[in-house]
Amino acid sequence: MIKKRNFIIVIILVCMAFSTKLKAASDSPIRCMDTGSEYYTLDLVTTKNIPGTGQAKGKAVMKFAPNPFGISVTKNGSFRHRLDIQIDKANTPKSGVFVAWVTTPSLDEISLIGPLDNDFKVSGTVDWNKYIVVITLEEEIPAISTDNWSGPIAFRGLSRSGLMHTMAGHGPFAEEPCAKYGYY
Amino acid sequence: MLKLFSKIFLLFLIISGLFNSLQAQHEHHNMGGQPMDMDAKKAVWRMPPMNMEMPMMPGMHNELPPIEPFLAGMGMKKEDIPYAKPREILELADGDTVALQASIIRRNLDGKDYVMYGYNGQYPGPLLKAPQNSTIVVEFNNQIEFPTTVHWHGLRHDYRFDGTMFAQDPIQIGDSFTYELFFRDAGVYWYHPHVLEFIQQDLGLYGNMLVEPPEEDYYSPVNREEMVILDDILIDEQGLIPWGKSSPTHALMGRFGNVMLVNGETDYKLNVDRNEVLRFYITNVANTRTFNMVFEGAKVKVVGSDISKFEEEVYTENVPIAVAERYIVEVLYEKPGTYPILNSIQAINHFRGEFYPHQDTLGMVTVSENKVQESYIEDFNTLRVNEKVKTDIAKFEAYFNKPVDKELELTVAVQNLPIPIMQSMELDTAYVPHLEWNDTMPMMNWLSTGKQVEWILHDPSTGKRNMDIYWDFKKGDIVKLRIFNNPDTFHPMNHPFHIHGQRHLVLNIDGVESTNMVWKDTSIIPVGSTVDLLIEMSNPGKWMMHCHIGEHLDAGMMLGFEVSE
Repeated sequence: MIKKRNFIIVIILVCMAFSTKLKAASDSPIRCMDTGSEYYTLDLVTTKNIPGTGQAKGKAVMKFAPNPFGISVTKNGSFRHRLDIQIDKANTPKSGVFVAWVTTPSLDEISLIGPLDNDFKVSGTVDWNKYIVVITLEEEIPAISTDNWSGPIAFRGLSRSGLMHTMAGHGPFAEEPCAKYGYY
Repeated sequence: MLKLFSKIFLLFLIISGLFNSLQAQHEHHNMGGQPMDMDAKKAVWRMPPMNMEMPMMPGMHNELPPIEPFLAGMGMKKEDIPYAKPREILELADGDTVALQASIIRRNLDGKDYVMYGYNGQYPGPLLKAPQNSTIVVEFNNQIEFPTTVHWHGLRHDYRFDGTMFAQDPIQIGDSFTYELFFRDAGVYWYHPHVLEFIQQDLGLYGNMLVEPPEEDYYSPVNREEMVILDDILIDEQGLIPWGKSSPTHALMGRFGNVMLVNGETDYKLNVDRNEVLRFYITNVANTRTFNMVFEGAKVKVVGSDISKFEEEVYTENVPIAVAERYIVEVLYEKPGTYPILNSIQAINHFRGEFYPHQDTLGMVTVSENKVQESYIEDFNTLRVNEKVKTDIAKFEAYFNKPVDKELELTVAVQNLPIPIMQSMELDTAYVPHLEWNDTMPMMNWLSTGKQVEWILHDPSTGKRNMDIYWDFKKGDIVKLRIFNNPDTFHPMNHPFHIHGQRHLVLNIDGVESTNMVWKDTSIIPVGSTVDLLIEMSNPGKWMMHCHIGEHLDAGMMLGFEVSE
């Protein structure tokens, strides 16, 4: 027999679950803001550190920023992309705001994309070829000049270029010492 | 003592063994082969120069392309080959006739002689300057070692003079052909062979045409106009690296050169006055290299591209230009000093899985202390809105959202490549960049030939591919062509897509709409992207569409279409 106290707790929990405001239809697939190159689309993965994001996931769609040349490239030869970020199945945080950033893989440079809107979307520009998208929960919307996040990380994703393979010291190059290429 | 000696001996053996092992990775990087002896009768393969930091794949040391090598002028006496001259400017009027000959010439680059080809014994070929809406006649004669034709890139003229297989048979060695050119649109165009481009064009067969508009204020006033042809060539200590005679080497990525050329020279220099404004007409004639051109120390404004001016002028920090494209830019030098013109890219080290910045100096500009006599700074600082271009393009707006008429998927098929290449490519294609800026795997690329690699234009509606495709259109048709550059292939690559005899607009790339349009004849299709082109079928005839990377074209990537009256 279920104890009366446990039964009440279960009922309360079920009610709470149904009262949660889900932002996206639970069965609908993730839809990006627009079509883009699927090949370069980043998956954004939850850290499960923020309440209401445990089942959430997202995408960052990369497209060339509009320009006269078809391909958008910076003066130093990096591609310049427009990033369209969208998170699905996340709950609105009780306090604070989700903010998107991009950072280099070594985290030595960080650039603010902006706060996610009520539909958990934001767009911005990134000028790096290899980077990480980070979405944090900030107490308030950071100033444009802010160069680092202060809140906990809620989602993160690596650009497809992060899959580039390092062959030093591996496979067919096993005879090549890693140290020769800066790996120890 | 004996123990110490044996330890030293053992250490010596280990070190020498390790050294030999490492050395073996590079043993053929500067492989001897045949010296650049023009009197030799037969070319032999020499491995292309490589970055010595990049190890060679084991098992590839003794591989050679399975085709016959070719170098120009083999068996000829050096003294019999004339040195080429810098290009002449031919100011032409309506109805004029020009003689043009393709021949074997000698070039001197950085103190070394090379046997190459040239039009009228010049590098580049002569600049044909003609008024808009004029017609000129070109009496062409072929004195190179191959049959050839001349394609007049970008001209919307009579297809019978387009230089393709639909227009004419190749002009045999020693034979002549008369071309009639009509210059319908103002702007910068170029001419080159349409037979074995990967050899003939790379050896120097290219030149510009400048079509001058009747309106004096068509462009903003500038102090000077400069024609700039960007190219690269593949050379080692012994000379030019041979080409495949019947089929291209470098079929995967195209043949990147390791020496940059501007107007056929390695030391392009300009002397300008302070506050001078120059208009550059830039053409990329390389086999495969996309340049990212940077004018250090200057302000740059983009004015036009292949077949028209932009709807609106815009400032830019750099000019990415794919093969066969043209851009017209205006450049202001305000401060005295010496500034490089750079090709500034992010190269890829596949071995380390990294991007790294790389710059080639294309030329140097010296800005004097003297102020330019007539200043056009005010005009430079004004961004023009080209109402005529906007009005012209506005006529096509109704078609921007029409359904797609034709679709193409860009892909590649390979067979019989050396096993280490197959394995390595499978390892490395977890990520492929939008665009290959340089040859990141010279050995593998060199060994891939047109016998093993087929580049494919695939029509999903019919299943047909390449020259099995022959589309029919009528004059006046406005055709939306959707091109998808499939990234899930053996080796995806960017493709500069050229449409003969017509003009087109780039409507969008991956759904991002073009906000500042320009009429084009060649547009880049990046890896993974879907690009919508709107083609005005304005010019009847039998035409081609193809990738303009010379090696890709020869490896199949072309189709035919006809526009009837």
